Amino acid sequence: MSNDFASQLEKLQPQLLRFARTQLRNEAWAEDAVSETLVAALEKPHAFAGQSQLKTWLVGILKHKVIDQLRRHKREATILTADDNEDLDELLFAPDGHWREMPADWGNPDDVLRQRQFFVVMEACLEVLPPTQARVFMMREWLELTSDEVCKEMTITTTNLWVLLHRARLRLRECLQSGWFDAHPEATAK
Amino acid sequence: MMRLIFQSCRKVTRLILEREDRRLGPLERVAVRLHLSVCQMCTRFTGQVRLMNRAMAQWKSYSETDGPDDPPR
Repeated sequence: MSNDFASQLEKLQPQLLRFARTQLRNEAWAEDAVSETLVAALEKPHAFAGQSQLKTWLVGILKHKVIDQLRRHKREATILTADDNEDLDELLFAPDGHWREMPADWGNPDDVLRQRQFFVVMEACLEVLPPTQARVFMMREWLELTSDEVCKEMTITTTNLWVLLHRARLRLRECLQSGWFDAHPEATAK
Repeated sequence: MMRLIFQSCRKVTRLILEREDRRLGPLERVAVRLHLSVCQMCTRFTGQVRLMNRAMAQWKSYSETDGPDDPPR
C-alpha cells in the first residue's frame, strides 16, 4: 500500500470523526468507529479501486462501523436523560391545542440553503440535541435506516421512537429559529 | 368520525412530524389536509419541516463527497 494512500486517509480522519461524533454522541465510541474504518480501509486498499471518491468510500465504511458501535452499546445509547422530559409541546401550544405564537415565516428555502453559514448553525444545533434523540434522529437522517430498522437495532418500541423523533425535530426547529432565523430577519422580511 | 377529522393544531403538528417516519392512515391524511387548508400557522410549520428536510438531505450529501468539508458555496 502506498504512503500516499495512508496520508490521504489521515487527512480525512478529522472529518470522519466529526460525523461519528454527531451520530454517536460519545467520544470513545466515535474514535473506535473511526479507527475501525481506517483499519478496514488500510487492510484492503484495492477495494477502493478509485471508482468513487475516497471520502464517499470511507463514509460508506464508517456508516457500518457506526451501526456496529450503536449495536454494541445500545443499552447506553438509548438511555433517556432528564432533559428529554421537557415538554416542548407545552411551550408551543396552549391547553386548548392552539399555537401560542404564529410560527415564523422562514422565507424561500432556496435562499436559505445557499448559505453555508446556515449549515454551520444547523450542525451546532445537531450537536446540542439530547444524545438519545440525536442518535435516533441521525440514524433516520444520516444512516437512512427505516423506522423499523432503528427500532430493531436499538430495541425500542415504535411509540418510543416517534416520541424521540418528534422531540428531536421540534428542538432542531427551535434551535434554527433562534440560531439562524431570528438573527437573519432580512432573509425572511419579503 | 368528526372528532378524528377535526384536530387541534397540536395534534396536527404531531401528525406532520410523524409522517416523516411512518405512513399516516387515510383518516389522518384527510385530517391533515383539511386542517392545513384552513390553518396558516400549521401551514407555516409544514414549510419549516420541509426546509429542515431539504437541509438535512443537503448536509448529508456534502458529508459524503470530496471537497472542502463545508457546505456548498
